[in-house]
Amino acid sequence: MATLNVNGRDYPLPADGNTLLLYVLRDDLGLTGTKYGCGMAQCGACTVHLDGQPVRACVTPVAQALGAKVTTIEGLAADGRLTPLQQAWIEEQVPQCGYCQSGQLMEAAALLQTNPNPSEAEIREALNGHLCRCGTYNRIVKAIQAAAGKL
Amino acid sequence: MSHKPKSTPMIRLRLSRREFMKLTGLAGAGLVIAWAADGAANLAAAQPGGQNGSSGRAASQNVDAWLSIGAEGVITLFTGKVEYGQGIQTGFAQLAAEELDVPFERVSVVMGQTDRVPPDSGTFGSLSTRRTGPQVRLAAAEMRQWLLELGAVQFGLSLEQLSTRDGAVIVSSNSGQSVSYTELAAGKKVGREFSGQTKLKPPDQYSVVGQSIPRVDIPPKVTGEMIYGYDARVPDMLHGKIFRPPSLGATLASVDTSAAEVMPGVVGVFQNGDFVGLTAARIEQAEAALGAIQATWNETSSDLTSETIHEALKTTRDQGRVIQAIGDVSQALNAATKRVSAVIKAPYITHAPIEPPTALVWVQPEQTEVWTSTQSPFGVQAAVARTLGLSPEQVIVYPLMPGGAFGRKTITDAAIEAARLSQAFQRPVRVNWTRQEEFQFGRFRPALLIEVEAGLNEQNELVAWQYDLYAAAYYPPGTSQPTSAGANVGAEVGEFYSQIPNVKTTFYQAVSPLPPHYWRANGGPVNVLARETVIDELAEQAGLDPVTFRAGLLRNNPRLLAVLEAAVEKAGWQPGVGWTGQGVGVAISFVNDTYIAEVAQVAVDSGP
Repeated sequence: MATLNVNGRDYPLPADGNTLLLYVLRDDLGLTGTKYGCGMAQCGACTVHLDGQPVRACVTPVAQALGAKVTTIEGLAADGRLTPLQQAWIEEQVPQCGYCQSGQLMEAAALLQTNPNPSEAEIREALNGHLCRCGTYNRIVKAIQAAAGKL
Repeated sequence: MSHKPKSTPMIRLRLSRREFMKLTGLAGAGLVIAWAADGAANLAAAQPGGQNGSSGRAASQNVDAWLSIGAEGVITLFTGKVEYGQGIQTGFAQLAAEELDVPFERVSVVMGQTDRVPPDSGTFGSLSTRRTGPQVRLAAAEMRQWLLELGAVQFGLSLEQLSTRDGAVIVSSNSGQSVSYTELAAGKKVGREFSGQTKLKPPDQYSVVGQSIPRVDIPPKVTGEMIYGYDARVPDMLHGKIFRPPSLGATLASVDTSAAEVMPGVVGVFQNGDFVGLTAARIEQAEAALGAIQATWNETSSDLTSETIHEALKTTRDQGRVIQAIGDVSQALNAATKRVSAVIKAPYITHAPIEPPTALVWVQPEQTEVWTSTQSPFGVQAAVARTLGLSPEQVIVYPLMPGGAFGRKTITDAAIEAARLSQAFQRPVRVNWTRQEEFQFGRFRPALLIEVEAGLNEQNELVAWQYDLYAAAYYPPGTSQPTSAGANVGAEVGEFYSQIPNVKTTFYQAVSPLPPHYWRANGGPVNVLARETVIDELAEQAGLDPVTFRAGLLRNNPRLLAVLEAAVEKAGWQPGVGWTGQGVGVAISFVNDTYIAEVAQVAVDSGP
C-alpha cells in the first residue's frame, strides 16, 4: 500500500493520487496549519516542504509526494522545541491574523537551509510569492535576519 | 432530468444502496423530499446593509456578564469582541489585570462565544480598545470594589484600611494579613452593575497597562496550532458547495443536477429557487460534483467597466447632499488668483482576506452550532436564526480566528449557506468559499470619483475649497435607501484645515449593480488621498514647502500641527529643491480619534 511520509511519520494514503496534497494534509491527517488561500499557487499560504524544497500544496497532487519526505508547519519544530526561526517570529511579534504565516515560515526555513545568512534583498526575493494581507512584511524580514544570526 | 427552478425547495439525496434499501425497500437511486422552508426572505433580511453586523442590543453593564473569579485566582473576562491579530485579547487582559491588581498571566479572555459573552455589535471601526476598553476597566474596578467590601466584612475593618495586591485583599497596616479573591468570591456573583462611579486606578500607578506585553495569540500562529474558521471540523461533517451564477444577479432558467447527484461521495443536492447547493464526504468530491451541474441562466447585462464606471457615477448621480458649507465657494473660486483642479478616481476594491469566507453549521433539534470566522458573532447568530426560523438563543456561535477580516467578515453569507445545507441534510456542513468565489461574489469598497476645485488668494492663502464626491451605491434587498458603505467618511476638509473661509462639500450617490461593503476605513483612505494630494498641489502653486503650507492651515489645530512637526523632524524632512526623481512626501489625517502624520520616501522611475 502506498504510504505518505509527513513530518517523519508514515500514513496510509487515504485518497486517490490526484487528490491535492493540501486536502490530504488538512482533511485526512488533520494538519490544518497548512492553509488554503487561493488554490492556484498565487499566495503561498499552503507552502510545505517536499524533501526540503518549498512547494505549493494547493496545486500538488498527493501522488507527487509519494516517496518524498513532506514537512509541514507542524513538523518544523521536529523535536517539540521551536526552531530559532519560530522563536524569532515570536520575538519580533510578526503575525497579525497569522493566516499566511505558516507559508511564510516554511519558505523562510527553506531559504535558510540553502542560504544561512541572506541579505534583505535575498529575503525579499525568496519570499516574494507570499502574500500577507495584514502587511507584516517588514517584521518577516526582521525575524528572518534575527534567526539567521542565531543559526 | 432538466427542469425549471422549483418554487418548492427540493432536496435530492443520494443514499448508499444499503441505506436506500433500508428506507424504501426498493432498488434504485435518487430520492426527492419536499422541503418546506422560507429561505429567500430570511436571506434578504440577513444581507449586509440590513441588520447584519449589528445586533442592536445594548452592551450589558452587569459586572458578572464581564468578569468571573475562578479557582486559583484565575480571572475570566468575557467580551463580545473578537481577536484577529489586532491584539485586543492581550490588551483587554492588561486592562482587567491592572484594575483588579492581578498578574497579567492570571487573566483569561473569552471572546465572542454568543452563549457566554455580553451582546456586542461587532469588532470593527478601531473601536475595541477605545470603546470597550473603558468598559473592561469599569467592570474590573467595580469587581475590585466589591472584593474590598467583602474583605472589610471578613476582617472587620473599614475600606480605608484595606488595599489589593496580587489577586488578594490585604490589610494595609499588616502585610501578613490577606485573603485571596478566589476565597472571598467563593463562587458568589457580584450582582451589581458598573456605574462609572467607582474610582479607576490613576494612570501614574499603572504597572501592566503601558507595558509592551507579547501578544498571547502569536505562539500558536507560528506552530500551525491556531484554529481558524477555515479549519473548523466536527465528526460526521459534510463539505458543502454552492452552485454560483456566471455573473452577479443572474437567475436560474433551468438546472440539471442529475449527473452531480451520482458523483462519488456526493450525499445530495439541495435546491430552493436560485439557491443550489450540494454536499459530499470530501471537499474534492464536492468540487467535482459542482462542475457536473448543468444550468442555463438569465443574466442581466451592464455596460459598466472599470474604465466607464467613473463617468457613469456622474451621469447617473442623485441630486446630491451638501455635507459641509462655509462662506461662498463660487465667488471665492472666481476671485482666486491661482486655481487647482483635481480629479481622483478610485476603483471598486475587494477585501481579499487570505482566508476566504467560511462557516461550519450544525443544525440540531435542541440547538444550532456555528463555527466561523467572523467580526460579528451576534450578527451571525441573528442571520442564522432568521435563516432557520429560530430564536437567536437557539443558535450558538463559536467565533474562530479569522484569517484576515477588513470588514469582509461582518458579512454572514457563508454561515447562511452552511445553515441552509445543514438544515437540508441534517448533518454538520462546512461551506468554505474559494478565492474565485470571494473575488466574484464578495462585496466591494465602492468606486469613487472625487472632483476638487481649490483657489489661493494673492497672499497664497487657501480661500476656496469645492469638493464633490460621487460614490457608487446600491439598494440592499428590501430597502429604499441606497448605501455606499461610508464613502463620505473623511470628506469634510474643515475637520482638518479649519482656516479655509469658503468650503462646499457635496456628496452624490449613483446606483450601481455591485453591492458595496465597509472596507477598512470606508471612504476614508480615498478622501484623505484626494485632500492631501490637492493640498500638495496648492502648496506647489503657492511656492511653499508642503509642510509649511499645511502648518499655515493648522493654526486652530495645535495637536495635529504638533504631530506633523514631530513626524517631519523624525523623518529628517528637507524642503524640496526641484526635480530629482527622488523625494519625500507628507500627509496628515485625524482618524478614529487618532492624529496621524506620515512621511513617505518615494522614487520615480521615469521623469515628470
